[in-house]
Amino acid sequence: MTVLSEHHSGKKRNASPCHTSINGVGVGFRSNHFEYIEKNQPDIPWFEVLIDNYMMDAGSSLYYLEKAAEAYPVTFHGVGMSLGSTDQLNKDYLEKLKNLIKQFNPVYVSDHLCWTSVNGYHSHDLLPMPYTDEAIKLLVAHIKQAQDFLERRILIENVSSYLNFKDSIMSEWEFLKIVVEESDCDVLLDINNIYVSAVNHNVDAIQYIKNIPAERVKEMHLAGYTDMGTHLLDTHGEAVHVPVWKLYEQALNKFGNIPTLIEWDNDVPEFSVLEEEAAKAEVIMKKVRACAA
Amino acid sequence: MLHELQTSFLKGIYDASVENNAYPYLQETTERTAEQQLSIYRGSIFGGLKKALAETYPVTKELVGDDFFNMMLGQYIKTYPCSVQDLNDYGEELPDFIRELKQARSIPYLADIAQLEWFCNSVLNTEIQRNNLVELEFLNTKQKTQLRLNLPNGSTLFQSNYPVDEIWGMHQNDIEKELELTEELVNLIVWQSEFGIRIDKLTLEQFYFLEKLNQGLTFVDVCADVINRYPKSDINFLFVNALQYGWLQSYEI
Repeated sequence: MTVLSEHHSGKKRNASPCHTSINGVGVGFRSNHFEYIEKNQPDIPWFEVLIDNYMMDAGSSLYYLEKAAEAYPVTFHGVGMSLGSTDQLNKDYLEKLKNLIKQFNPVYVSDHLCWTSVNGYHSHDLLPMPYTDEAIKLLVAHIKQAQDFLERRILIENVSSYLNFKDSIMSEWEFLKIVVEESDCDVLLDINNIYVSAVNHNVDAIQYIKNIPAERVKEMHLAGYTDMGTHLLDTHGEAVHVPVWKLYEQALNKFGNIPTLIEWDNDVPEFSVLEEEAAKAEVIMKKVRACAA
Repeated sequence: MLHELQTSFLKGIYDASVENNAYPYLQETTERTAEQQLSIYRGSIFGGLKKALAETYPVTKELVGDDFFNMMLGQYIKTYPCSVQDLNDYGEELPDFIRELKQARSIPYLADIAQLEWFCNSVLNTEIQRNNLVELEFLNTKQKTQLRLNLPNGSTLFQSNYPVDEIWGMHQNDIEKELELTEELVNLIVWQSEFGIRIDKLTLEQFYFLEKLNQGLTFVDVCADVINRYPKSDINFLFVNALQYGWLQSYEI
């Protein structure tokens, strides 16, 4: 008889405590660190949960999420809404998301300014939108639908891109600004993605940040890209690079001390490495705060 | 317009031909041609799907090595683009794909190993149901004649001509030894207890007994069927044995 792997069974759970805000620098809640976090309760102000990994009814992940949500504020970050797709929104996905929101009370729920699937086929990747009026209309309708269904405002994150569509008639920041204002959602500003796209398309990253409406930005992301020689690739597999730290400081100057997340999804290191990255971001936050005072 | 763009784009990801339908939508630059732009996304999408499949099929990967596994998955993804929202559900057709793959024929048990891994993946993503068998003793005689017994939720009965359970177990424990491939039928149940996934070897009689229960026949009909097929069977032993191992999970009338 072979026992392959031990895990905790799925069972009915109580709702987690209701945290209403996050502050400072959080890190991603990843399976590599589940046991470490449960055992050591590290001094991290909040965790961001990749919520698509918790849509199953069973498995140990839900157990660890329950434990984390009891001790820390959490935010939900998704990749599955496919808000920019010409397919209809996936009701089953939204239903599962809504149930998890009720159960774990995340401070924010976010997804991306992109599409991931069409005609029932899924890329499981964040695909860019053409910056057109038709795309704005579709995104606004889908974001409103999602917000109505979830009964809460969501945050939309800018993605890295490696191409331009011929049909685009405006810049990405103009597109993002119109979408968030017309759909009345908030922004999760990924500083690494801004930098990656700016380098790949020869545009000004500072200009991008200057044009984002400050009152909409509720969270920021920092991550590491990989330099492929011909382009930068958003891999989330390295430490945050120097130019991104510099851009982050500029962003804090404009938006104030917005809660920030250290994202690391590939070749995930020891938890202490994430803590070091978070500490670096905290130092920049303090510096900007001191300058502003 | 947007729908055509998205349809052409995703189709273009799986189609590396020169007349790719996605190219007309892309703005070429001095740095990157349309083909280069699309290939960045192709690499990223294929990479993500391959990573997910490698997590579902780790023993299959180990048996053929990284290079062959990557080549095989590249062909598989083009043949079966992902149509599921949850990546845990992607890759169901890989065992049959391997069965048809000429280059994989030097490892005759590879498709069965992949099948076993798929069953493990499926059962792991199934919620464990409450065991209500303690209530069996309170059933009256009439109820007992209508009794149907269920195997654990998500469990699978599986037969192979190769000792796939042993091969699988050796790879879990990094054991290297010569295995004699006798092509003797191996009967297995892949299921999930509260302590984790289990692969248990069954006798032919046990397999037949559980298979009939799994078809939804009443317990009375299953017993008659087993006795008919295996006249020397000890039904009481088969039943108690299945209970003790945990291969029975619940009942219904």
